[in-house]
Amino acid sequence: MAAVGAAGIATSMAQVYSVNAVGYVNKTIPAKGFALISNPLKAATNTINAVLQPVPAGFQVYVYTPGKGYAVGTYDDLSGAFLPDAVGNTTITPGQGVFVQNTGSSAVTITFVGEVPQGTLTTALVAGLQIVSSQVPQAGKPSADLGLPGADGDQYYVWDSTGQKYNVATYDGLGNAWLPQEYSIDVGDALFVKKVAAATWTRTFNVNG
Amino acid sequence: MLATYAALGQGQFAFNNRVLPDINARFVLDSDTGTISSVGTDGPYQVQLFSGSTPLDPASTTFRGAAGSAAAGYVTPTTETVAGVSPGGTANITLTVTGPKITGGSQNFGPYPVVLGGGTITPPNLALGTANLVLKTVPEPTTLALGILGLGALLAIRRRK
Repeated sequence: MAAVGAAGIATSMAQVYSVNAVGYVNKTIPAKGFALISNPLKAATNTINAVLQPVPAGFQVYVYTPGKGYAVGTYDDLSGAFLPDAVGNTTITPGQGVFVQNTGSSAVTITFVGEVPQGTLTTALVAGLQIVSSQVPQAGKPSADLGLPGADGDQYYVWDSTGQKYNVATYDGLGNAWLPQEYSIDVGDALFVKKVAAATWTRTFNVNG
Repeated sequence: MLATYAALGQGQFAFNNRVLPDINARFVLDSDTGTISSVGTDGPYQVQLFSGSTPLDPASTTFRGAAGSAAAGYVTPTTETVAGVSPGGTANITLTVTGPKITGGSQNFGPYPVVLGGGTITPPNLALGTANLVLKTVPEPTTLALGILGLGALLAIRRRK
């Protein structure tokens, strides 16, 4: 569902020698469907109004704040922004995520443009439910490939945009494994993580290896 | 801390009367014509939201544009939390619109049933449909005066006969 173009993303990383890797990611939101997405690249401006473009009138975004719940924004063609303003001006950076709903009858492709995060990347995970994403724009299994920490009783919910349903994995301390299995996410996907206790998702990443 | 835990058990929905193409339920006065709405920020008009008789959080919202503007009749969108109803539960939502020209000062719409979101369930939109929500207005003084004059004239004619 995501197309990646970059000087330095995915498998061609070893051939890139610039300090900063800039690229783009295309993310397609199905018609009349939901998607759980991230902002996979650091843009100059990372507000919802700046990042979620272009979208049609009625396109909706759901910002989840742990302990509070959702704030819903709707793209309004009269003002050319998401309303209310508090949602449109919310910042989403790599490591965070939002639910979006395409209310239209045609699929919507959002193009994220920006820089690949590098260095030691940390995402704070609170106890309870939150939407997070990999700060490194890579596809794979959240824990095995992307480094999401797991502890006994932790859960994550991966959204299947095609089937419009969740796949839920639970970390089992008896076997030290995610059950029934790990579910892969694509570049630009986010996931719900439900932590028993606070933790930190840490990843060290450099484009030049 | 208690408030935080309580909030987690409460369901949510999105209140917005312009979510194209499925929702376009603009508030208008019964005296409005064409595509004009007089329900704007300059009333001021506002919408209060209830589940039964319990106010929601936030309890009310305002309108986005001045009377006659393209945004008039459309509310400033909110994400509403319903106390005492968990995500997945159904709430029946009543809207009370208040404003200067409305008969009696307010008018109710609904109840609109909605299955609430929260947690991993995204909050649904309140299904308001695509028809205008029409507010009954108090007749203008000039209209009333004309009506009384007409009635007077009619009575005078009948007396002469």
